[in-house]
Amino acid sequence: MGEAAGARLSGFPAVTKKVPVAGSALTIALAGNPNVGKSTLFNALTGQKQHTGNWPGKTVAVAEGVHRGRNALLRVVDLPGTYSLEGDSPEEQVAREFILGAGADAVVVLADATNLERNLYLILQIMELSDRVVVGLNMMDAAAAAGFEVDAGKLAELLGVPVVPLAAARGRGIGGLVAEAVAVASGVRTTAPRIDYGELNAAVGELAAAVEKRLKAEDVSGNKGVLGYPVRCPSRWLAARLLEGDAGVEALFTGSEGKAVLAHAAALRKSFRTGTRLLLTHARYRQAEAVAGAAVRCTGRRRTDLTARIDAVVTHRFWAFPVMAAVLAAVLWITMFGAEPFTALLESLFGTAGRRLETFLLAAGAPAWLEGALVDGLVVGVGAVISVMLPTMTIFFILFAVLEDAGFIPRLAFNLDRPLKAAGLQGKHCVTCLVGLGCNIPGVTACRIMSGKHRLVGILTNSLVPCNGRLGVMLPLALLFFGRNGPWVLFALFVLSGAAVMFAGFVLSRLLPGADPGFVLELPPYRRPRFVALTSRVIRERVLHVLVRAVAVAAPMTLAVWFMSNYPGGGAEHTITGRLAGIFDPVGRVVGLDGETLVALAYALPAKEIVIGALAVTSGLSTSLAGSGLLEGHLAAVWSPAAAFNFLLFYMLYSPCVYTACTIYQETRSLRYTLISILLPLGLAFLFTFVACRVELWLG
Amino acid sequence: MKRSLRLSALPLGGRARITAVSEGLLYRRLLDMGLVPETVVQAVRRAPFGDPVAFLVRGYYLALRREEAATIFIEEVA
Repeated sequence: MGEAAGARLSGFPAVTKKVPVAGSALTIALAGNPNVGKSTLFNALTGQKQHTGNWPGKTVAVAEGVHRGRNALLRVVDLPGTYSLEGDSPEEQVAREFILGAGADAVVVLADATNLERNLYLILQIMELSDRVVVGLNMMDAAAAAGFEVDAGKLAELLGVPVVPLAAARGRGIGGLVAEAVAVASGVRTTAPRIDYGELNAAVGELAAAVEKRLKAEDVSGNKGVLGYPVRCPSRWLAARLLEGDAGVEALFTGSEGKAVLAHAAALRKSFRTGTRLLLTHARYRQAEAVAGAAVRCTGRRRTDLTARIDAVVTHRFWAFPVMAAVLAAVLWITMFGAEPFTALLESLFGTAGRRLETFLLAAGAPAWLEGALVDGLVVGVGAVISVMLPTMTIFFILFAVLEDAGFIPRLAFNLDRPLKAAGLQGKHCVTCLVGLGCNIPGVTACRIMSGKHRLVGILTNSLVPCNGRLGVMLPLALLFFGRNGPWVLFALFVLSGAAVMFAGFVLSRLLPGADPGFVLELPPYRRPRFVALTSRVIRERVLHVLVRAVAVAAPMTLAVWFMSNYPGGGAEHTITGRLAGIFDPVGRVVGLDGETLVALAYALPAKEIVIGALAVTSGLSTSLAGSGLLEGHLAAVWSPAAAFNFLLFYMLYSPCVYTACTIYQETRSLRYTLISILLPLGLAFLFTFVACRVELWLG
Repeated sequence: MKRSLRLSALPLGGRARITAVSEGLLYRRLLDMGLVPETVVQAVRRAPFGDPVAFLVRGYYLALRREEAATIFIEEVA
């Protein structure tokens, strides 16, 4: 999980791998707090020329792109947004590692002008690490609207590094920022960062001299630095870390000379009555307060606080619930009904493509099995995945991004933390579950917003939330069997899904090792969402990425299903599918289903939206996954409403689809947890459906 | 009259100055978020179920659970 004690040292590699860029490009790293508009600036700088990948060995996404300026080619690296650089979280390690590893020729720290004091804390930390820092002072427009002004010149003077005012969302100031970053990166402009360690100033200075001597000795002996530490690593920063007893930095000082430095640090540390870690943090915030106090000026009467007024309703003791329910219902309604015409269009396109291919193959004299496999298996199976996933995911994630950008999503976590805590979870779980409603794959990766045990429980329970693919099947079936009561049945199923998540969380949080990681959450101010910028980002980062891989997993599996349902021939009950259905029939009866249904559910594991087609195959109505109008009539005849409900419940809860399981493995790097993530929902599906079955019998 | 109170006991709307932070699980995180001694905080809003509470710290809103808030010692300010 990247937070093990052993992972500490990996935070300090000797060299950071540099992705080659044509020509001698300078590398600019973007750093900053979360929610300061870093992604917006990154997109404005790099346009479409970017890619996002995981940092080697860590589940931290680092985006990289190329900026072509008037006379400069820049490699831009978007570091993860963090509040600090000295914690143990993987994001902080990655950001620190990149800046220390000399991977960046300059670091641009983006700061929120409306929240300068806390942003300065990170700026000061980065100035400790590097003397090639440029501050981008973002949201100057929002600050002006809120009734105050930040004096960038004064700020630059007090910090000793260039400060460029920006309104990145409106594209203002970006050119100036690039010019300043290039000047600093190429060494044309030198900076003189001013760090005030407060009452530790003397101790840091004294220890830094000892560290410096040690660094120089290593340098002369031909080494790059202490244990692979680059020479550029500032001695004052090392001294400060040694003073606060940072185990990772202490481990770098070995040998008798190294031990002497450590003893020196320990002696200095003992001379303070208060903890040195507290003193250092305190000193940074004192400096931040002083700098912000001198640079921020009130220009007029503060506008009434819009955020407070919205929060009074959104987090209200009573009104919070109807508001949250209405937002959720609206998101689902717009997604389902907005996607419908696009899904129908894509389905007809794939249908036409299938028929064209069929005609072509028949004309070319291809054998029947090849034609069947390609047309009935592949085109139809992949077509079903794309037609359902593409429109629903696009719409859903645009809506989610709008809510996130507006500031609504953190309020969900705030409102629901208490009840989730009772189940051993925390507020941010409702955010990852909401993402899971769109698709469990990003739902699982979204669990990165939590740490330790919370993150693991989030990953293991995400697939209990029905994704858009499943909702697309559940809604029409609910309407078919329950008519006007369909939406209420769906609502009941949602409640049961929530109950399953809580129940699984309750059990897992007691069984898994580790302490409750606690809950700290910033509630950012509400903002007007930027619709156009968000839309392109959603399609690029979420939808296409997931879709391509989902198809890559689904295609071979749908082919396999087609073969199993058609061979060996001689009647539906003789095929592999038919035999499997016979074997599993007794198991199915226990939960009010039958063998054919269970096999169909298993066949839908590559992509759950194909379950209707799979049912048609296993009930012998069709030999392809195309599904058929016949099936609905067939189901209506053989299923009672109770059986339909059992099916919907089981279908909603059972094991994650193949690509989600792959994602769970990528995120946990543990076969054991991946296995749990597959078996736990399956067990819960059996348990819940069994109970539902009993209740139905009891009710008659 | 200065008594040693905990942040979790601060009533909504009340302002207080931090006097000390005890070294719990989230010690480093709380310090990083600006909850260091001498900082003035205000309890602003309670979540619908009564916990967590949003505090105004250095001009931004930070939500803390009762347990986390209880690791922070405060004195009331006029």
